[in-house]
Amino acid sequence: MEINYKSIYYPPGGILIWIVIYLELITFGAAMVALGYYGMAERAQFHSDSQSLNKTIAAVNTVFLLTSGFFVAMAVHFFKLNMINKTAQQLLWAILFGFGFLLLKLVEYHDKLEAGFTMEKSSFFMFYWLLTGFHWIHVLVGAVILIITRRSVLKKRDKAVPEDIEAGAAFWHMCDLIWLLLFPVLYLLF
Amino acid sequence: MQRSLVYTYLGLLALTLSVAALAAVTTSRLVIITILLFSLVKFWLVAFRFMELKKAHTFWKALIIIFGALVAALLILFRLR
Repeated sequence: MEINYKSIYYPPGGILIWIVIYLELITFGAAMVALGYYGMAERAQFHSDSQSLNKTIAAVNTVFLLTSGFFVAMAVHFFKLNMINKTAQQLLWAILFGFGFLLLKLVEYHDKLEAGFTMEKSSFFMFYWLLTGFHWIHVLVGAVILIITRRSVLKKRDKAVPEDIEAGAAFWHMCDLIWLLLFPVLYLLF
Repeated sequence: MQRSLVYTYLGLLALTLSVAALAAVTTSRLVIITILLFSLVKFWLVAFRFMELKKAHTFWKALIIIFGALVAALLILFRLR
C-alpha cells in the first residue's frame, strides 16, 4: 500500500517517531537556550571554557555524523527500489561512521577528564557534559536501532516494512539534527 | 533522488568546512551570527532532504522551520546582548 505522506497523520517514518523527535528537539533546544542565557551572564568564563574544547575533534565528528546520515538516507532510497543488498551495505557504512563518532567522543571525554574539566568545574562544563553525554547515549541507541534494522532487512528481505526502516532512519537523523545545533553552540558560540 | 542526496551531502560538507574555517579565523559577532545561520541551514537541509520532510504535511514542515528559527534567534539574541 502506498503511504500518503501529505496526510498529517503519516509523516515519513510515522507519527509516533515524529512526536518523539519533536519532544527530543524541544528538550535539547531548551537546554541550549539555557546555555546561551547563562553564557550571557558569565561571558568571560564561558569563553575560556569553550576555548579549551577540541574544535578539530568536534568538526571531524560533525563530518562523521553527516556522512552516516547520508548513508542512512541512501539506504532508505535503495530499500524503496527493493535493492536489499545495497540497503544493507549502506546501513553498514552508516553504523561504522556512527561508531566512529562515538569512539572519537570518548577520546575527547578522556582528554577533558585528564585535564580536570569535570562537571563541577563550571556552569559551562555542566552543560557540556549533560548535553553531549545525553546526545552520546542517543547516538549509541540510534546505532543499535540501525544494527537491528539491518538485520531485519537482511532476514525479511522484501517483506521488511518500509515504515520501520524509515522510523529507524528518522531516529538516526534526529541525532544529526541535535548535533548540528550542539556543535556551534558549545564549540563556537562563546 | 540519489543525485539530490549526493548534492545535499556535498552541500552539508561545504557548510561544515565553512563554519570550521570561519571559527578558526575570528570570533567577531558577525562571524558568530553567520556560523549560527549556516548551522541552521544545515539543520533544515537534513530535515527536509535526508528525513524527507519535504514530502510531509505542511504542519510538520512548519514545526521544524519554527523550531530551528526560534532556537537560533534566541541564541543570537543572548550572544549579542
